[in-house]
Amino acid sequence: MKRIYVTTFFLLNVLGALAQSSHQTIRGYVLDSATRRPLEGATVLFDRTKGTSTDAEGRFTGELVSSSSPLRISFQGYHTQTVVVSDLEREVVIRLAPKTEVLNEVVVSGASNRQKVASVQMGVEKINRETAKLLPALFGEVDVIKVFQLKPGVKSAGEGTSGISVRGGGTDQNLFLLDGAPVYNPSHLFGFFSTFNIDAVQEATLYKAGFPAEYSGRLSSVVDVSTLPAHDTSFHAGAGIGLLASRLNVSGPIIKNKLAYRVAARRTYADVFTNLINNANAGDTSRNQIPSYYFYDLNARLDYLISDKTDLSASLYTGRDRFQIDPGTFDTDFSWGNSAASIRLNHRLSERLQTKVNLVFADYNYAITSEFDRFSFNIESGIRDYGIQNQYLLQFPHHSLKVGWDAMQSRFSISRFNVASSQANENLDRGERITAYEGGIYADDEFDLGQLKVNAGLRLSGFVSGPTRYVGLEPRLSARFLVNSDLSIKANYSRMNQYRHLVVSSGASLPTDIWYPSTEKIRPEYSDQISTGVSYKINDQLLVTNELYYKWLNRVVDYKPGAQLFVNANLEEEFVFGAGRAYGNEVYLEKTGGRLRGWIGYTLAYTWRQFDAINGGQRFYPRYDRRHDISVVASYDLSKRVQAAITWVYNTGNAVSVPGGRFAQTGIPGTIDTAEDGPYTIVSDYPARNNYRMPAYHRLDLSLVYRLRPRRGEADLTFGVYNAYNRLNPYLLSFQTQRNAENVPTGFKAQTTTLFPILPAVTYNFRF
Amino acid sequence: MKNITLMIAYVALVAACTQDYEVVLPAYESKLVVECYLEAGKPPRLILSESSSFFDAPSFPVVSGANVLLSYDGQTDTLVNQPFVDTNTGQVYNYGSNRPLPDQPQGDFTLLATDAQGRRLEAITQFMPVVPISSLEPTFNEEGKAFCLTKFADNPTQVNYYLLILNKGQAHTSSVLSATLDDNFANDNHDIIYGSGYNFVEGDTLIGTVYHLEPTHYKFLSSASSADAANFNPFAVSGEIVTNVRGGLGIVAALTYDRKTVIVPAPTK
Repeated sequence: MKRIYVTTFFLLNVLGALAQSSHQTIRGYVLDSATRRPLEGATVLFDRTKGTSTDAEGRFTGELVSSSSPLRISFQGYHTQTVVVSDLEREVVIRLAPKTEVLNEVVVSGASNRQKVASVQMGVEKINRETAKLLPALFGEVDVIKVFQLKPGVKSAGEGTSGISVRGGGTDQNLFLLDGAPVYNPSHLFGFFSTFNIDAVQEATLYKAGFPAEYSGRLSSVVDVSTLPAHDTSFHAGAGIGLLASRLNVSGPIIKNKLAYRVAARRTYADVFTNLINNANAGDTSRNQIPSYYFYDLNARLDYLISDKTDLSASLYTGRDRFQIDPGTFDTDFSWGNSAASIRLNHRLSERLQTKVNLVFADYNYAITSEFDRFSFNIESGIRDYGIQNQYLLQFPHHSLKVGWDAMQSRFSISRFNVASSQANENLDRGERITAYEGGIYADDEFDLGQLKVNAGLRLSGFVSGPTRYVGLEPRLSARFLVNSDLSIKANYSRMNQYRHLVVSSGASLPTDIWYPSTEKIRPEYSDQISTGVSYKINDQLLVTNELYYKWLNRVVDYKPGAQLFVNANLEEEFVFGAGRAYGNEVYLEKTGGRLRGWIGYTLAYTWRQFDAINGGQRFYPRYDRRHDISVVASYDLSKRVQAAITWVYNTGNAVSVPGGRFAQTGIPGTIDTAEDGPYTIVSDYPARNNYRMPAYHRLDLSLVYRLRPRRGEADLTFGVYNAYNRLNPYLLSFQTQRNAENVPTGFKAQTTTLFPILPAVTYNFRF
Repeated sequence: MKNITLMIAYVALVAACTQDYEVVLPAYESKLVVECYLEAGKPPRLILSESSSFFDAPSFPVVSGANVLLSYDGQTDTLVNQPFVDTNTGQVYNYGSNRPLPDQPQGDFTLLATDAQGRRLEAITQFMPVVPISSLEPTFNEEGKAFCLTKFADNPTQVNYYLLILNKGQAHTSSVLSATLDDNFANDNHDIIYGSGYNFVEGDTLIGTVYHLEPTHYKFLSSASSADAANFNPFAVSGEIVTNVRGGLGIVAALTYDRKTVIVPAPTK
């Protein structure tokens, strides 16, 4: 660790000297001409033999043979451009125009195979919106997070849900960022849909390992989602009409080539139909009212090009789910939602140095309100953040140095329970409010030594909550050895600290899960991960990688058995602390070009947890421990207007708890509702936590995109079939007590519940 | 919380289809189960049974011939294996003693049971102080149905757990309200006020009982309830049950309670 520290800061000193050297280099950026978004993976040829690719920021650097040599820039789906650079130009900005009116070839990942082999990064997955829109989706609702679930090492938290477990980590160990602002509960409808509206998403990047030093805060992954910049030259609009939800987005200039906006909205409409049914059944006491449910999303973005060197963007997301039950006695309203906003300033200070400042706001809360007679009840929890991030990027021919800092104030509202009555002495207000501060400073340097490329970083993070203070060092080190242009060997190590805790005992993330800060009793969680792998470019279209990983999870949190999670002003007393391990091997074969594209992934994985107070102190497998995980994704261009895609997934069944035995309990005389429970209740005896494996899960999904030819703009019809061979995958395993007319138990049986049998879907999308 | 669970269950199961499923479980070793509620001034009695493999035919397998000892206040009482029914409550017991417990019980009460197979369980319990009910107040709605507000004082100097039971007609009949509460429900006046639904009409005999629970008894009740809910909740965690019984299952609890009875009056115009 000391060596890394010394190395990093030694580099800071020597970089100044390097900056004085006189390379005949040319630097530049490749951007989308309409949206100004950077194009990662664009090929830049300096003459007919030498070339490079752009990075995630659209940057490239190279040496010109002569000033008259033209630069040739190409990128899939865009018109190739050739430019001649004058003697005086050291930096160029190239805007590629997208090809239209043809079915763009979907790039299954952002970077070229050559770039993936050459990159020092491993354990990173990128999904762009084009890839996500092509693949089959549950109810036709395209979701970038669910595409990640098709990648090795990323497991779904449950059938149809957007929750993820990354390399054996819990669903609480993933940091979701939207334009830099945290999103604490990135799901709608108990996880069946993510909060990321595909109309607003440009790209999502998932880091499973080798975390850059700018990221911290969660043990297992970072999902960095960037929104789509606005069109600054002409007005565009698009919409999608699906079975469950419809979407609308508009984008255009306010001041041409200067200031532009984008707005995207989505709303479900199941509540429209349930309300009609409820109105029709009004007064019929034999029919129960159907709960009303909807969710909505709103994304808005402003892009302001202040100068060629400076741009400003503001991004806002707000979304909410709302559930209403009106049974006549208790009027209950259950709602939850996120807001995330950021204002980002990018400024190029010089040819080599640029900076960005990001002001962020994030809010998540849930509230359950209910009314009864003269009382109103309110249960709520939430978290609200205000933060700032600042980063400097200094580039040299063989070095790329990032230095930055960030700070955030977080207000936790925990298990608030309020009863209001018309009689003041009946009022009640309980719960906790905690204000905490989290921050960090970091530096990382990526230096290229030819065959060897290293990224060394160090982050110093801290957390303050009342009188409690924690400081942690988080070293990061990644290395790549290029055996030849087609084969590389990589390795990395990362430490991640987690100062805020979401205890998710169930394995699935629920809206009622509560975020809790580190305190004197709840010490920060931390993880150490090592991984190594090889990347081999079989040809320009085929790439195979293999990655091995081992992760130590320390001070992970869970709840005590029988913990009281609601109306508890001392929730931290219910926490227990333990350890975990996760290890496995991921194999990934990807085809990125041609009419047939896609990937095959296989993961062999193990993960377990151990707590003194749970399972008798014995190790147990969490719900998402799945030994084998296979995913096959393929798309095929049937014609220029028709694309077909399939996905097939297979994984070992969930680890779940089932009772081995049972006993009868009569209870204190008079305390049991005998009308419901009979003369005695049956109490299950669980011999161990997650002692049973559900059957293996597998499913085939199909989709077909048919591009229409409207008079104006573009339109398509997307047909999809979820679970095409109707595999009845068990979602829930429950145990039934059969009773006779006197409510006396007569037998017991187990039942499985399948959520999604074969489900067709059709979506109509148009844009102009 | 029941409302939330219902809502979640509704969403989870709205499009669901179910089918029977055969669960193959490893052999289950049955354990001793005790259910014992001690009351001041009354002779101790209990049910000693054993647990069964989950899919075995339903039965209530009581355990006979066990040696059951209750120790308190420096003395040990042997509970005799003699099945009997309490005619007041209809409750069945298979071990009991004729010696009543002290009217003012203090200290630990230790139960030790050893059966013919050599299985042994042990539990320790203590009596809590009585928490008196301040009021039991029916309030009518416009349809002539009444809810009941139960009010009692919480001692803020200690952590307290309660079980509130409302019965209609007789104290030992089926309950219309059963709520496990702790002092998080106490307001700024240190009162706990808890309401029922519109379960009562004019003339009903309303019986309210507030049990002051030991922490382990409270945890047993709440964890057993959670285990029951976990069975049908796809999001719930495993139903591990917290108990004060070592070497077996069930609960040994000392009951301390206050009880009030109210005849629901006519609604005021």
